[in-house]
Amino acid sequence: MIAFGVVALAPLVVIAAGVRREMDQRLTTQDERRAAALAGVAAADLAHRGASIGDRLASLADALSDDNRFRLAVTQGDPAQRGYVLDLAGREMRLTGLSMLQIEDASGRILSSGHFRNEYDRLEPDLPPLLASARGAALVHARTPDGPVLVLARVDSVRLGGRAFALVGGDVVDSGFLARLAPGGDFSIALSLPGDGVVATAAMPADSHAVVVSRTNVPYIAAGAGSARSLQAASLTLSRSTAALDALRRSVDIWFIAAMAVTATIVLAASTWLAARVSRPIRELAEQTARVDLDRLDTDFNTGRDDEIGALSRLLGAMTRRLRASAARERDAERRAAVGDLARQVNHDVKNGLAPIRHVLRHLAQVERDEPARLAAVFAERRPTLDASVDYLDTLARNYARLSPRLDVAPCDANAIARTVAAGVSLPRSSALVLELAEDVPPVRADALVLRRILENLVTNACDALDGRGGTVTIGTVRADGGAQLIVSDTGSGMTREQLNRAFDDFYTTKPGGTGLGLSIVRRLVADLGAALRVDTEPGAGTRVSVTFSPNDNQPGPLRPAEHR
Amino acid sequence: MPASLDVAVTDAPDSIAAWLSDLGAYQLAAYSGDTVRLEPVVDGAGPALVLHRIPARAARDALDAGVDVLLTADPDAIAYAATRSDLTSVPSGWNRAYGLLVRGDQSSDSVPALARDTVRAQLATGAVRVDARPASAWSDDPCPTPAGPSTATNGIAAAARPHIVYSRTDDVARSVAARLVALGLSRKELLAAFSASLANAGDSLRAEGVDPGDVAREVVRGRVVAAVVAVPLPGCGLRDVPGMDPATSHVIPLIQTRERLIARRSLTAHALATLAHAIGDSSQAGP
Repeated sequence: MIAFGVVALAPLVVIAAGVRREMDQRLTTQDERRAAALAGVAAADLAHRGASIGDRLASLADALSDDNRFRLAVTQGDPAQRGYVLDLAGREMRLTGLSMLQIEDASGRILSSGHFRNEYDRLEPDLPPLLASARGAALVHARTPDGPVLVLARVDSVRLGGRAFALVGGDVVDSGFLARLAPGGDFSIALSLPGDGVVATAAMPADSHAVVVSRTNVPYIAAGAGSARSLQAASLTLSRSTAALDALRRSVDIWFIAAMAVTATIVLAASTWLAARVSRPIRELAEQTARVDLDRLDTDFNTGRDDEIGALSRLLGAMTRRLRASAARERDAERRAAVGDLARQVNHDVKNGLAPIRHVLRHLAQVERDEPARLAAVFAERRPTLDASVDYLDTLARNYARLSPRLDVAPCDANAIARTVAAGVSLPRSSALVLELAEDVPPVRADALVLRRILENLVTNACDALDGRGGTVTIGTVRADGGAQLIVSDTGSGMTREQLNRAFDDFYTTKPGGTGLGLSIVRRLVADLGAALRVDTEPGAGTRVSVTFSPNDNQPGPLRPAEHR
Repeated sequence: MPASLDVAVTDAPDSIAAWLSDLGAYQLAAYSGDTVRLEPVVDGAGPALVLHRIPARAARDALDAGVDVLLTADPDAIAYAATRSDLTSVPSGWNRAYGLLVRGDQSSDSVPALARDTVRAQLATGAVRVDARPASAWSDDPCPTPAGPSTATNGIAAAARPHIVYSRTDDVARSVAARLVALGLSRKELLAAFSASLANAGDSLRAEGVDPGDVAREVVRGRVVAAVVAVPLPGCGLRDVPGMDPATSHVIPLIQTRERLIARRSLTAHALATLAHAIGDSSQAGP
């Protein structure tokens, strides 16, 4: 699923990063071009404003040269026209759309002021020549009754009767003026005067990161010490807010992230679907396959899927069935082989048992024929041989009879059977038998006789393992996972790996006079009862054999492989 | 004689207030918004007068619309009427006085009369656009000066702004304040004749329009250095200045103004005389 996610997301991440980088570069370039163009527009607009002021002053100069009342007032000193002159600048200021206008005579005396009507008679001789030296519009502080205002001003002149009069007019430079210069909502403009810092701004968003686009110097007539003035340079700074561009970048990022999230969600869903459809079934199939062995071939591989996994499952099911059939055939072959071996062994054993009898009978027949008087004595002499052979055959018959038990399964008290077996044990010298029986052992579903035979064989083997050196044989029961476990352990010689591997084979024995059928019988009986057999052994350390019954379990179960401790 | 005369009055609430305080042979018959109807006390003794208060910019429109009489100080309207042969104008009486309200005791002022007279003359002849004359005395009216409790201290409070306040509805007061500010820029010695605080303010002196009721209070409370105040004439001088506190402030007279009565020439002399009598004594007025 992770690999699938990486494969699906990695290309998208690369594409997103590339597209964003390319888009960012293009947007930035276009924005810078636009900003430079608009900066040029702002500068041109400022120049146009100055030119417009000049045009209006020129028109006013023409009008004043034709104004007889003004001429009478300023050349003839007609007192009747004084009020007309005082109001003239205000009237003309309104007509021309200027926000500052004053008319001065050659001495610099203000004859009429539109923005400060009652400022008449004040001397301001240095302003017109400074404005003229600016060769265009200049910023200047103009006085009004409400305080000084910053004005973009120009100067013009008119001559009447040989006397020169200066016309100083302009537009107020305030936030509105600057706002009209700012070419767009994302641009801001600020005016800085020497020594005064920023005196006016327009369209400056407080929370944006502004980037300076251009700085334009504007002539500025600054007031110096006393009434002296000087021509300096103010700075008009055009800044561009990157807020819109940043917002666009954020928006693109958000959309890319959203696309990534959607893709990741889809990948996750697809991965989950694939896991449900492929990975999990394969894992379950693997687990089922891992449970398969020759002793447990009942794993169900049936499935309703019609895809590749279904086909694989059906193939495994078929293989299991073939294995089950093969195992059955193998077991049958083994049984046939065992029967053959048994038959040969029986034949051999019976022949061995019959041979002494045959010899004794021939001997007795010869004595009866040759020496009838000694028949009784010879018979008495040879009778132990007959008895031993008969006992041998009897024992042999009983042992063979034990190879084919018939089960009569019913709940059994494992502790009671253990006690019965313990009571009949003939212990070697210097040996001890210990019973460790748990009281909470549940009943075991088994044939009581079979269970007794299992215990008798195990205890007999345990006693034999002591090899006459003495030791301890322990019979125990414990509750195990809701079922019961019977344990027979000894402190005897133990077994090697090779011995253990053959310990359950028929007729395998390491004991003189042993039949080699004890553990073989145990293995079959345990398997017939559906219990599990486990052997823990180590040479010199003894052996521990456990038979585990599942709760109410009488089905055939696996014979747990013997372990070598 | 017409039964009634339509009289337009431009921005002259003080004039209307003066009329209503002494209606003479007339009595108030109706009052609605900007319209007042006066009728003779004796039936048939004269025409009813319907007074309409209009803004100054509408004065010439009122003349063109045929109003019987226009009472105004607007120089443009007066100049316009002079160009019309069907109209005649006569000055009203000096019906308004303007003074400079400053903090402090009048007796503490050194009074350079020449400088004050110079300023008064400049105010009367150039600063204001109405018919005005210098005023060296506040009022000839003998009304007693109220002696109310004073809550302010003498002298200019430290927080006083270097502003001369005026009523933002009064163009004459605004012009007077502006001229004083202009003098502060160029002729500080003249301002010193009125108030040392004004002279000291110098270039920082400003003119500021405020609500009419706050003009004197700004000075009395020590927020500004001076105020241009106006009172109707005839009247009771300081007592008619809203918010005035004679104990801490005093008024230095500056100018007196008057309006002009513009009437249609078709009106009979009797009607004009009746109207002149109704709106006040114009005998002081020049032609």
